Order: sequence, then C-alpha cells, then structure tokens
Amino acid sequence: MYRLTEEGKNYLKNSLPEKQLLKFIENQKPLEEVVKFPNSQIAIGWARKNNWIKIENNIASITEEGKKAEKEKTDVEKSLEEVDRRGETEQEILKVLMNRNLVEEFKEVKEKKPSLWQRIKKIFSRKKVEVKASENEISQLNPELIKTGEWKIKPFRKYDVNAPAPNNYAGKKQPYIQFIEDIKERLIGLGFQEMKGPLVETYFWNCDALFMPQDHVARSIHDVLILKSPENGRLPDENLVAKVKATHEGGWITESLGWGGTWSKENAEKLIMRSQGTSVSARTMFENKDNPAKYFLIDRVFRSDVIDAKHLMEFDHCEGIVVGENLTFSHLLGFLKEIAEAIGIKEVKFKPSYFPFTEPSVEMYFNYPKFGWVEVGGAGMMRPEVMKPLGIEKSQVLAWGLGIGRLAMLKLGIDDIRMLYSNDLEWLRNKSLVK
Amino acid sequence: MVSIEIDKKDLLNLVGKELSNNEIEEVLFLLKIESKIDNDKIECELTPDRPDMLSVEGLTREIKGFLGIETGQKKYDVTDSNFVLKKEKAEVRPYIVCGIILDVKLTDELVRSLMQIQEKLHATIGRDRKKVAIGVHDFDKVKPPFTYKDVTDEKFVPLNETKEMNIKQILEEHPKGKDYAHLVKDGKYPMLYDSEGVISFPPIINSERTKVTDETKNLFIDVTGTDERAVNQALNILVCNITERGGKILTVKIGNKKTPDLEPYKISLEVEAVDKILGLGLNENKIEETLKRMRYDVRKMKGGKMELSVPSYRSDILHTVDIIEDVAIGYGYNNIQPLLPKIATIGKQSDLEKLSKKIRELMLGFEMQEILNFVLTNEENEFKKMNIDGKAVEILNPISNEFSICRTWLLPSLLKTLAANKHVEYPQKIFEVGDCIHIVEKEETKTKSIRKLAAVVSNYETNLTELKSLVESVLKNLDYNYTIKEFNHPSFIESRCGEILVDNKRIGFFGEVHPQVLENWKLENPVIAFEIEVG
Repeated sequence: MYRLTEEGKNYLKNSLPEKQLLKFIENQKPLEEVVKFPNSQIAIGWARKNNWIKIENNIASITEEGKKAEKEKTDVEKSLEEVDRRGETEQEILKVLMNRNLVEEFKEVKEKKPSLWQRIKKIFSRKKVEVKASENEISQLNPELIKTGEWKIKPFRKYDVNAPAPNNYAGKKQPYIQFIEDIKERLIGLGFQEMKGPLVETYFWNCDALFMPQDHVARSIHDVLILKSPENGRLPDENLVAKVKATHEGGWITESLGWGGTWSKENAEKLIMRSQGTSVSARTMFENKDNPAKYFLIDRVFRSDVIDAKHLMEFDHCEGIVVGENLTFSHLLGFLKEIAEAIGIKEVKFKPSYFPFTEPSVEMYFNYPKFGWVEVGGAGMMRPEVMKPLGIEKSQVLAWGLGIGRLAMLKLGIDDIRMLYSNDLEWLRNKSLVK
Repeated sequence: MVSIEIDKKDLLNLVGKELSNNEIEEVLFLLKIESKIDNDKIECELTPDRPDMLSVEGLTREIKGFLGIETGQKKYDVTDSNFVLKKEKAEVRPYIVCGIILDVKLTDELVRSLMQIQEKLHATIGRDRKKVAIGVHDFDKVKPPFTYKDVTDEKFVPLNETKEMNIKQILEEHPKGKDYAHLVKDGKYPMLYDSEGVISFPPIINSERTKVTDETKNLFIDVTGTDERAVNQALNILVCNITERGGKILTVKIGNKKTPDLEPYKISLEVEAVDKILGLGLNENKIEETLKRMRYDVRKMKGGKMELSVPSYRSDILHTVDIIEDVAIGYGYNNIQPLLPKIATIGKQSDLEKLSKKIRELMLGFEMQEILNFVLTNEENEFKKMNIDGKAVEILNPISNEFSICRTWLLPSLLKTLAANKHVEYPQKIFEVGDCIHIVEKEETKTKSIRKLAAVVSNYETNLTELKSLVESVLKNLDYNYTIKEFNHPSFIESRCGEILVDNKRIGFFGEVHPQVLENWKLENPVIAFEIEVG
C-alpha cells in the first residue's frame, strides 16, 4: 500500500510547485525574479523537465505545453489523488512520485506493538519489498544482498543523477554572526581580549566618563534612547565621580579648560540604552589603569534613529583600546593599518576627524577594488580629560572603532542594513557561507 | 556631522588661487572635511568641533593657511567705540555680547553665507538657540545706547511683519515664537533695546525696524545666551568670518568689558609634549611651520618651549592636545609613517561569548537555523500575544511603538520570525542565542543582561518527545545537573510543558505552544519550543 507524505499532502491541497510556478511566471519573467519563488529549485526543475517552460537569455517563458498543463490536471496530480483515495496508482507514475518523496510505501498492519524479535527481524528485512518489486534489478543495496552475494548476479537499477533531489537545509549560523565571529578571531589573533559591559547604562559611563559635555547633542533625546523605568542608576565610587565632575567644570589637574558650568550628578545617574561601545571601554580603562593591554568589543548599541536602509535603532559596534606607555599617534595609525591587513584590506588612507573623547582623532578609509574608498571607522588618542580621572597616570590609550555593519554589508553584498538582522528564513537558508 | 553648501567660484575668488576639483576636495579632506563638488556648488560635511569653518570665509582662511598662501595669525582691524550697552537684570539669558562691523559689502554671496553660518551656529554651539542666539541688524538703523533686560511684556513689529505684536501673540502665533517659546520663561522675557525701542527679542526674533537690506553698509550684531564662553565664541567667529571679505570692527562697551574681544588666547607648548603624542620627532622649526599654516602665531622661547597665540575664533581648543592635533593635520595625516606598537598581549574571547559560540555550534548539529533579533520589542509581542503579564525595561522616547521595551525572553522573537515565514517550506527549525534584560534593583544599572538560548520547531505535526530529547541533549552538553518538573505556563498547552530546574532554580522550560498563542501570532502550524538561561 502507498500513502501521501506530508509534502504530497501539501501539494495535493495547494497544487504542485511547478504548477504554482506557471501562475507566478504568467507569460514570462526574468530568471532573477523567478528564483525568488518559494521552492523555486524544485519547481523550475520539474517545469523544465515537463517542457512547460523554457529559459532563454535569463528569461523564463511558458511553452504551449505549459499553457495546456495550466488548464488541466496532469497525470502526477491525478495519481496523487488516486493514492490518497485508494493507496495505489499506475506503476510508472508511482516511481516518479516515490522519487519525489511525495508518496511512501507502508504496510497495513494492525496497531500492535511488535515484539523485540519482530523488530529485529524487521531491521534485517528492510526494503525486501523493493527487491521483490523489480525482480531483475537491484534498486537498493541491503545487508541481505551483500550477505547472499546476490548483488553479483543482478544489475543495479540506474540512478538518474539528474532527477531533482529535495532541498536539504543545513543548520547554519546567521550570516552576520558568521562575519562577526571571523572579525573576532582576527582581533584575538592580534592580541585583543574581549570586554563586556551592560546594555542598559548610566549617562555617567556612556558620556560623562568620556568627557562628553552634559549638553552635548549626542546625549539628547534625539540621539539616545532614555529609560522611562527604571529611571536612574547608581554612580560608581565618589572619588571617581568627584574627579569627573571637576574635570568637566574646570579641567581638574588635566591642564584642560574643561567645559565650564556646573556638572549635574542627577543627569549622570540617568539610565539609557548604551549608545556606544565606548561606555565599556570607559569601564575597562577604570579597571585596567596602566597595565599594558588590548581590549575589544563587538556588541549591541542603541540609538534614537528612524529606521531605513542606512539606520537602525539597534545595531552592533566594534571597537577597542590599546593601553601602554610611550604609545603615539604614529602607533595608532600603524595599528589601524594592521587591523585593515588582518581583514584583507591592502590600501588605507586617513582623514583628520573629531570625537569628543579623543585627540588627535582620525577617520579611516579602506580601498575596495569594487567600491573605491569607503569610510570604515574612527580612532584617536584618548584625551587626558578622560584618562586622568579614570586613574591612568603614565600610559596613553589608543582607541579605535570599526563600522562593522558596513564591512559586513560589503562582504555580504547587501545594501540595506536591515538585512543584517533579517528574519527571512528563505534568505537565511539559501545564503551561502560567509567566507 | 554638520553640512554646509558653498559656491565654488566664491571660494576660489576668496582663496585667490585656481584649484581643480580634485585639489579642492583633497585640501578639504586634509582639513577634516568631506566634500562633494557638483558644478558650481560644493557640499561640505564638517565635524562639529570647528564652527569657525561653517562658512566659505572660515574655510578660505584655513585653506589659505594650509596651502601656504597666507600663514600665521590673521590681523583684525578692531577699534574701540563709545557705544555702550547697559545690562540690567537678565535671568533667563544672562550673557550678552555685541559687535559692530563697518564698511561691509553686502553681496549676494555674503548674505547667503551669513544666513547659513547664523543657522549653523544656532544648531551647533548654540544648541538650537538655547545656549547661544544671534541677531544681526543694520547698524545705521539702531540708535545707541543699548539696554538689555528681562521684561514682563512688550510690543513691537517683528522681523518681516507689518503689525505690532505683543509677547503673547509672538509666542502663540508667530512661527519662530512657536518654535522657541520653550526657551523663555513666563514673565521674564529677555529684550534688547536701543534708545528708540525694541531691536531684538532673543532668542526668538529681531525687530522689523533694524532689518538688514540691500542698502545696508554697516552691521550690528548681538549674541545672547546661557554660557559666557559660548556667546563670546559665536560673536568672534561671526565678526572674523564676515571681515574675511573686508570691513572694520568696532567694539561695544558692556559693563567693564569691550566686545568682541579678539585677543588671542596664549598657551605654551613644548617640543617634547608634541613628540610624546605624535611620535614624529618634529623639531621646533617644523612645528612652527605647521602651526603657522594652521593659522597660529608662534614665538620660540628657550629650551624647546614655544608660546602660541590661539585665534579667538577657535572654540575647540581646551588643551594642548587640541593644538598637537593641528600639528598633525598641518603635517598631513597621510605623511605620517605608521609604526607598530610593541605591546605583547594575549588575545582572548570573553567566557560568555565563547560559551555562546559553542552553544550555537551545538544547535547547528540539530539542523537548526540561527536567527538574530533585536533586544528592543514591545509589550504586545513580549507579553500580550504570549498570554502572559510581565514587567520589562521601558523606553521613554521610543522611535516607534514596535520598539518600546527590552525583551525579557527570546521565545516571542522566534514566534515573530515564524509568523514572518509562513510561506516558507516546513519544517522550520530555528534558534537564537541572545541577550535579554531583567530588572534587578540591586545592580548599578538596576538591570542585568542575561544570555539565553531558545529554539522552536514548527511543522504540520510536531513531536514533543523529539524536542525533549533535544533539550536534554543541550542540558547534558552544558553539564547542567538538572531535573524536569511539570509546569504551568500560559504560553504553553497545560500538561504539555515542563520546567527545567538546576539547584531548585528554574533556568528554563519547554513545551508545546498554546493554540491561543499561535492564533495571536496568526500561526497555522503547531510549534514546540524551549528556552534556557545560559549565562
């Protein structure tokens, strides 16, 4: 006896993919659109085999036979119905249906638990039925055929290597994660240690410790996602807070003018969704002090940005710091070149830039053979107004950030940042490995 | 980033040298500016630290220096006048400075540039007029002396209006009044007078009477605000940039001060300090040469010391590192020989990320596709559609209703993914390893990020036993010493759900998703799911 598989049932209900494809193509459609059709590989394979469509110059069009097939029930459909109704159909078509995994064979046995002996016997006698079905050729090798040596006297049934096989979706990592893991591996290879920090952060660590004035635009409601509840966090030890306050107001011992005005503790306590990975660098610098070190982070940050092809309210930052005595701006540029080389970029150029917490500051451009110069990140020497209050006495800190989203988009060949976090299962299943 | 648009011919005229498009782009790039030239227009993207370059005149000054056409500090023609401004009680905007420029040629180029820089200064150092607001008047129409004070009411004809309006009318009816009403307080309205009446109601609007026209030859500028340093910087930038095209500056007496005060700020710099930051081994002469091209005056002293005059329009110089950056810019970033730092450190992944990576790889073995979702979500998805109540971190200023809270668990994100893929071939087997945020009062940030793993399988038929064996395989691979108990969770079918306990603490659960939940998500196939905390 035969019965429909889940796929067979589905097609009986919703019609065969190759027939659905005919509807989708209408008269003709460019191939690049046709491949977007669900299960396009199966559908195109069978539609071509049946001579329903022809593909020329990357355009798929429906043939006369295809137009005919659209109007009436095909043999395959009739047979599906027949199998569904009475468990049998014409032998030739049955083979096709079994090949396509739309029909399976089953034994009509009463629902009784088989004994252990029966189960063992069943294992050894598997597929026996098929051997019987085609006495003169072997369709499937099995333990019995090997044991008896029967395979020596019977020919094997030909396997049609061109017959379409069902899709097999491997379990895969999300493409952006694949890319991020590669970058992490390279940074670790350069001696960087990964740092972590909280996603919900106080303004203190996100901005104040980084010498961003309290009325800075990047702290405004237009830039940062502010928490409604819980509203306020706690500030770290009083000593550090006092130093940061003094530095903002008048420079403290950093020989800076400071920002003037009065620094507000209440403002610094406010909780926000961290807007930059540098908040974690600030925490790490405070812990690490003057120990020679290299740290990096690739993790989520949040902004009050309207979502479009270039902006998201939540995305990933990649950044790092290098702490050491006698580090200079020349070293920073050397370092950026090294990072570029580690991710396979040969040509780099630098532009002076501005970040509130570094001076001198620099922006880095990579030369992609395909796209030309692309701005990919920023860097700089941490300002004394940042380092001194955090307890860094002797060292310089080189800070850098890479536009990891942009790098990933170039690598994945996509031009919409939303695709990095895509929910489209079909795209995810069909996207080849990120090499 | 701040963007401005300038006229190419105007720029080249002012610079006094013919430059190709490539040369213009190149010099701007080396001065921190990204630019795009479209016929006669140059679009410039500037960093916010250099408001003095927000006009063609400011750019001209820097380009001339950089190219060596005119180096060292620009000399300004400043004369003290006897014009007096009397400041009375002004609480909302306590600081005011003024300046006069005589013999200005008010060409189309200057008018456009003046309007642009005024707007850009308001937006940048002005913090949208809160910190700094600028008024420009026809000097020949004002009659000194001036008075600045808070008033409770007043009446005048605002700029480009024909009728007198009182303060209430301006704040409620005038477009500028409506835009900036939040910057003034009830009953304390800052008002600037000359001897004949109101000339400006900062930071809202000027009077029609003192309007600048085609015939204007002399300008009077007022700058008010909440920060003394910022109002002075804004005025200095304006008068220095305008007089790049010619004109004489007159000061105004305010109390015991005369503004604009264009006296350069003196700062000393040591060769050693420059080398410590840049590592280029530059000597005194080279530093002097680069800084002069960056428009500083330099006086060499004994023992590698230099005394610098910082131009009064440079609002960004807080520390010697800011000047050292200018040395590097003058030298040319791309002329610097990159060096490799010799810091031997051992690279290492964070324990949590390492574990997450291993868990991901384990899940791939079950033929599961990884999904990456956002931490931000909304109550509807997080709780309502899942048949539960709960509390999560709430955002005060969400950009849309879709993203107003932080997720506390992963399962809703995965169901959302299924709901978006109903047309895609089944079975669908997906998982996510990601952060959730719990409110934890004792933490410094009152919250804690918790790393979780969740997976769902959806098909025409599902098998809870298969899922259980999967969950147990994950738990065993994580070395969890766990027990499983029956569990009632409104997101799952009663009696088809189990909780996973480690040391009597619930770390997760699994089960068959409740048909009501499926209906809420408009899902048509059964779903089995599990979620556990992993870090």
